[in-house]
Amino acid sequence: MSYINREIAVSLSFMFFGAAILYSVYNINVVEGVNAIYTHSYIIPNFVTAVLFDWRGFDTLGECLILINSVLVTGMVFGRGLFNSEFLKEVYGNQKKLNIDEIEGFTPIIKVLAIPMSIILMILGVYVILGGHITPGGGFQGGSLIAASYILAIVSFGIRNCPINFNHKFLETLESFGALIFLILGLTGIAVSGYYLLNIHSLFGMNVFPSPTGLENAGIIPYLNTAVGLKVLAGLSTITTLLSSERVIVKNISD
Amino acid sequence: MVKIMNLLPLIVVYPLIMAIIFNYIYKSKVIRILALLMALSLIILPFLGSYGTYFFGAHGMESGLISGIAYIFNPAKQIIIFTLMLIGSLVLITGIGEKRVNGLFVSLLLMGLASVSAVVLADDLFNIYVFYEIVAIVQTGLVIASGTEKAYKSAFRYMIMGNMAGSLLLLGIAFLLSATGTLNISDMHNYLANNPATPTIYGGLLMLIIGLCYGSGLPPFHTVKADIYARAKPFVASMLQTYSKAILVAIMLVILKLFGGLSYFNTAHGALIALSIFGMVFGVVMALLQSDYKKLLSYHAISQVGYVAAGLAIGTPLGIVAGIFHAINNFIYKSALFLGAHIVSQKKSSNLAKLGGLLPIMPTVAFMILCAKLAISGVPPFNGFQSKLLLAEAAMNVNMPELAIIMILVSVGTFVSMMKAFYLIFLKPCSEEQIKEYKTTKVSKYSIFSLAVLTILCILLGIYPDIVINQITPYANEIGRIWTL
Amino acid sequence: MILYYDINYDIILILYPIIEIAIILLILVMNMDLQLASFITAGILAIVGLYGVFFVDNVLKKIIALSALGNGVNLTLIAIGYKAGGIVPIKMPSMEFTMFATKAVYPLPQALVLTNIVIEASMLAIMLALSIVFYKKYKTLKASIILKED
Repeated sequence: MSYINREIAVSLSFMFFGAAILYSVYNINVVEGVNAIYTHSYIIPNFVTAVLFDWRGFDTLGECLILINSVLVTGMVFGRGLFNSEFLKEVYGNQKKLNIDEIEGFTPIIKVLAIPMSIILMILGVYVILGGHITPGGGFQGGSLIAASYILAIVSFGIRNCPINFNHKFLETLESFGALIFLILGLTGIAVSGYYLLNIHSLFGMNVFPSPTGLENAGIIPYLNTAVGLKVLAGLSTITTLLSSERVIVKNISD
Repeated sequence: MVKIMNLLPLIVVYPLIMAIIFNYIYKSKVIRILALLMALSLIILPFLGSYGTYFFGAHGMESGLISGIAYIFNPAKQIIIFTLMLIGSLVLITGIGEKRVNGLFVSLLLMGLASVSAVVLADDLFNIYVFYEIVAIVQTGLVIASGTEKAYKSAFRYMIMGNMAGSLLLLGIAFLLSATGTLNISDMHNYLANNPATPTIYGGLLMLIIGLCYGSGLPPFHTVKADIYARAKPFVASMLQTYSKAILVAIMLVILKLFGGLSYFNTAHGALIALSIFGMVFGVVMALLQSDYKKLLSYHAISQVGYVAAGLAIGTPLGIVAGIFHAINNFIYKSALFLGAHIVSQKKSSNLAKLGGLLPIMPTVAFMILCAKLAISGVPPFNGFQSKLLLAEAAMNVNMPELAIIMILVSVGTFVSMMKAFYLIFLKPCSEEQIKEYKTTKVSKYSIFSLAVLTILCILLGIYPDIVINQITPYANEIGRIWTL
Repeated sequence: MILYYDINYDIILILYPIIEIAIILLILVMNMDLQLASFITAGILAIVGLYGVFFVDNVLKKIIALSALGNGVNLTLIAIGYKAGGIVPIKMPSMEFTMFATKAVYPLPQALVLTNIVIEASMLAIMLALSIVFYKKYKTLKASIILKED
């Protein structure tokens, strides 16, 4: 009985929301508003990066933190730092061998192709991070390209025989380091002028980012890009390692 | 003239930096000492900033619109953040007494505090969304930390709902962005007040309300929310419910600020009041049925969310004062109750059927829990009485005696179930062996200290409510609109 | 309300590609406005996601549905930045600034989408981790077993 009531209630609310979404979407009439300011003031050639790191840098900080948070909670799901790990012990405690970790990966054809592909992807990622303020791209896109190359290697070779091997502790350090750079670069803004995440163009008469003419305003943006890149590549790689290996869980619940 | 530096962002940034450091050194031996220092330093944070509008990256007003992200800081927000930080530090202090405390727990707690403060401070819809999602993940993590299967299940349910509600909230923000061309709340209100309504704006308002319901645990999300409070460790649950209520106050004020005084807001007004009545009634009815002390408290937390929402949804200056004041009182006595549950479950368990006869063992704790219970049921001279009186007065002032009557009835229900729980835990006669067992188990001094601080606050605010009310009133006058039915 | 199932509704999802094909035909044949078409596509994507979250009895499919919902929202945001005949908001040295400023599409929604993608990805990671643990425990992905309230 209660199930049927629930079904009806859920169906009704689904229809209501569906109708509301379609009705609102159909009637959207875009007002330019604040976008005019963003397109009419020149900071760096890539205007999306300018919005991301200069106008709305604090949102990007939140985005960094959410990824760190997610890595932390994913680790916690797999038994890192729990108050009580009885449930995980019950699930993972009494197995003889680690099934996922034993997977050998795909056929030789894929293995042969995967390595050059992932090296190219990594180089592309580094390029995208470093050129984030002038060309399409940025820290997040480049970082996820590098993480994608790592994921490609893991999928084709299996976690045990993977030729690209990032140490877990190394990734953790990289991630914390990236986020701390972001936060502390923001604090220098307070020290200089009282505004958090201020885009400082020059300190003591020197350009913060040594740049050719036309890029004087880049300021701290390239550094922020690099920090976000490090953080995203480390964060996504850690999540992949956690999701694709059982050894971590067994190690976590044994101590 | 020397310009005094405005350190407002440190309220958010300092806990975040420390959270990253705690995450990195999570197994180290010095965690306890660092956490204690952290708990002490949290309390001074709300006094660092100066009042007014703060622009990130110096992107202020440009051609009539605010171009960057802005924070607004005023005495009302200061006192909300102060209470939040106080409870955060008390929970941290309680956590130090736990056996398996580690850096991850501390890190999650700090991230939650920082993000909730950001949601309270921000004057920008997208920034609110980002930190709102951080709070959702933090709450999931804090539930998972207790490590039981039920905790994992409730966390999974909460996460799925959270992702859905978060996406819908962002959809609403996208609608409002497209209709008004800005994300800043003050600018958006100016635009909405001077232009005719479109269906897109209605859609945006609807989605904002969904986000509000999820963030605070109003129906239809009350079961998921009550579940995570009940499955977390009790002292963590006191933090979780504080997060939820602060988010409720913040987003409700955003909605009032955006749409207050507009002709088409009346229907939404009614819907918000109806939601809060449902929250109150569902919460207390479910609480009367529970046999587990933690679950009982969790449903009461939902019921109290209903009170706060009702006060704010009325939308008059008095209603807003009553709502914020009740939220602050709620942070205090509900946290005290959950800490009490923590102490009780350290003694034996949280199952009411297995407990009894604890009064002679720990009379002081029993007295303090009784104070909190009287405060939640609205008995003078505790703080709950003052704010419930204001809430009823606000309801009467807008010609809604029905609302006031429902509030009083729900208070009676709260009183009944709280006294039932008190009898079952402390007064019910129990066997000799059980008393021996009680005497052997130790309770950590840290949690009793935190409970004592909260009890003193309960009585203090009950006798001198003006300390808080005077701080809130100017902001409430600015946002509230006077109307009668 | 939550997540309820019991009946297998998956078959209705076939409607989605049919609607999409209809929209593409509308664009090609009737010269429908591209922005409106993307808004409607986004709305339908969001509704499909919502549908999956409410009714499909499989945790993994629910997670996929959630990302469809998120993508619908992202598409809405991207379409807000659309300008007929617009150009990429990256200024080449050869461009004249006033011409660029009037023709470039809005950069703000694109930046918001970048932020939102990370948020979606992080939530997805946690949900996947939880579903791995529950699959190990129950050897099934049925939501009616894994998410059952007790």
